[in-house]
Amino acid sequence: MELLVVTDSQTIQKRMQHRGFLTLPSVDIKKELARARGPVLVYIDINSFGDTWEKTLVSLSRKDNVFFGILDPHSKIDYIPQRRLTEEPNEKSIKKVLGYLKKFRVDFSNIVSNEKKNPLQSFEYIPVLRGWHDIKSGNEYTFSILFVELDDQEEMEKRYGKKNLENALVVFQKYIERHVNALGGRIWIWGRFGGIVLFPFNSNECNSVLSGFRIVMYKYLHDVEESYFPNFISFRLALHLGNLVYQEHNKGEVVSDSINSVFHLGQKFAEPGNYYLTKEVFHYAPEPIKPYFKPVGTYEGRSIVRMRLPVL
Amino acid sequence: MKIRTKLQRLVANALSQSLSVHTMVRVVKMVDPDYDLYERTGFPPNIPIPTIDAARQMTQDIIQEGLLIDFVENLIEIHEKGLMGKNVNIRFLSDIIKELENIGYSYNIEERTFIEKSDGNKTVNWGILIEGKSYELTFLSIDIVGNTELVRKYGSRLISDVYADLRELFAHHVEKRNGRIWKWEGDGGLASFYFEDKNIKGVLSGIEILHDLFFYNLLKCPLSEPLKVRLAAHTGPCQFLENTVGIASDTLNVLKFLSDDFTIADSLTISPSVYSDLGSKLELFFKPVTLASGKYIYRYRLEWEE
Repeated sequence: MELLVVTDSQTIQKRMQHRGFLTLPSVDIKKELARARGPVLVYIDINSFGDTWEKTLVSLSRKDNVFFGILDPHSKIDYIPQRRLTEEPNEKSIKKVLGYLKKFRVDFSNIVSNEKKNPLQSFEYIPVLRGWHDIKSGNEYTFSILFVELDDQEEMEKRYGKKNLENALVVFQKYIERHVNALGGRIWIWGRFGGIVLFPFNSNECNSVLSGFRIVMYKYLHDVEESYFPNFISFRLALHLGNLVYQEHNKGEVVSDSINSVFHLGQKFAEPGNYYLTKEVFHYAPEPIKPYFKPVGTYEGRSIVRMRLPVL
Repeated sequence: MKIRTKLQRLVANALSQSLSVHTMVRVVKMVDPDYDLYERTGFPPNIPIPTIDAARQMTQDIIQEGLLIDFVENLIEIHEKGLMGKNVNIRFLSDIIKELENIGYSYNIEERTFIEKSDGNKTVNWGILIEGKSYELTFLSIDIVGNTELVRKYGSRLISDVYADLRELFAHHVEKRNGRIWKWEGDGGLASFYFEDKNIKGVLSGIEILHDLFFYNLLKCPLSEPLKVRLAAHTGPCQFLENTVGIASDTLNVLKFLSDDFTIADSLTISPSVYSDLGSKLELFFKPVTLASGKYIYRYRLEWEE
């Protein structure tokens, strides 16, 4: 029996390849299965299939020679019914799998607060115990990745003189830096209007969620007391938990699915002035602050929650 | 305030080498209008007092009366702007400022005043308010809601720990904006603000205390319910006494009235005189509340969108 892992995640591809497994990108699954003559066991990374994952499972269930398992590292589900290896899948068992996954993927925000945290799966997360002390440049780790970006950039460029704007942007950067440093984060990439902050992941709780929460909550005080901008500022925050190869002196050359995900979330999905979390990081948020977030749908196959904002 | 001999000598030399006796007396009268040099020295009024003797006597008297900081501030003003239209060069001024810095003060150029360094011991009068004199001050009060019930329910030991946390939080936000804690009793406290933007600083402290208390209740509070407080701010004249617990003033009476009768739990209430000084950004934090008298007070409360 052939074993195939179908995923677009470079992290999973690398790990599987190290273990001697064949991996395929999701676009090649049809072609590869059409070619197969004997029985094939396919592991599907459903995060690589976006909204088409249900159709893909149904399509696989119709093939006589294909047996499949579900790989959903973001929901921490690694699901293969044992019978699947000896029996053909039927409609009932497929529905069972779909129901199970739907519960996790759609309604996760309602269940996470009561759900005991699942033990980490070693192939997915690479936590460190002692924070930055354990992080070495060039190695891969799991981080909470916080995207920060000011809104209305073009307007700012027009409205303020260059020097005034640069001074105001420095003050904004310091505000972000003070809050993230207090909870173990470090600015990793910074442009003029925002950047990326990393928080090492300890496999227990993500203080990064709290850090973003505080940045939003104290923003208005910053506007009054510290900010050089004459008006209230607005910015987007997006937070995700994922792996990347840490480079101490990042020159913008790092290729990472996790970084791409958080950039997409922050730049394409996020509304001005809001703070978003992917379900991966929300799962590890301190329990007492979870009620201050609400689900706002899915993006790139991930469920997203948004912080309820303080009202002025 | 302990004044070193070196500083005392520097001030006396600065006076004797920069000013005539007549001008020295004029400068001393700026901080002590009733000062009489002849009475202090015992010299008969018809005999001129040697310059060095006059300078030493005045320096000693100013220090004994606790007016040295005010006096040096006046010397700086005279050095920069002159006196009665004449330029006056005060010698050793930079050395005097340096010596004052060595004993825990720093000169704030914008305020044109000495204040205690933030890393030094903090006195209730910033080292400059004088006993019995009246000043325009802003006050921020904090009261714990349901103190008696809390003590009964959780016991004095646990409640003491929680109140100690609250006091630390209150002091942190007040003192980082150069305010001073004037009272801390079982169920609340009082802070004062004196310098520029005192209303803004008092209000910002109050708002940040509410925010920090939100996080304290969410993540740290050992009680099975959130700790609730009432905060209020008012500004006005108040006579300073070193024993701040004994201070009585109309301004403090109004503050107590504002807190007891018009402030709801987990909110900051401010008087119109504080509100009018906040500026366009900070004003937006507050909602007006109409009183039965038709007057307004203003309230801030941390609220969340649905």
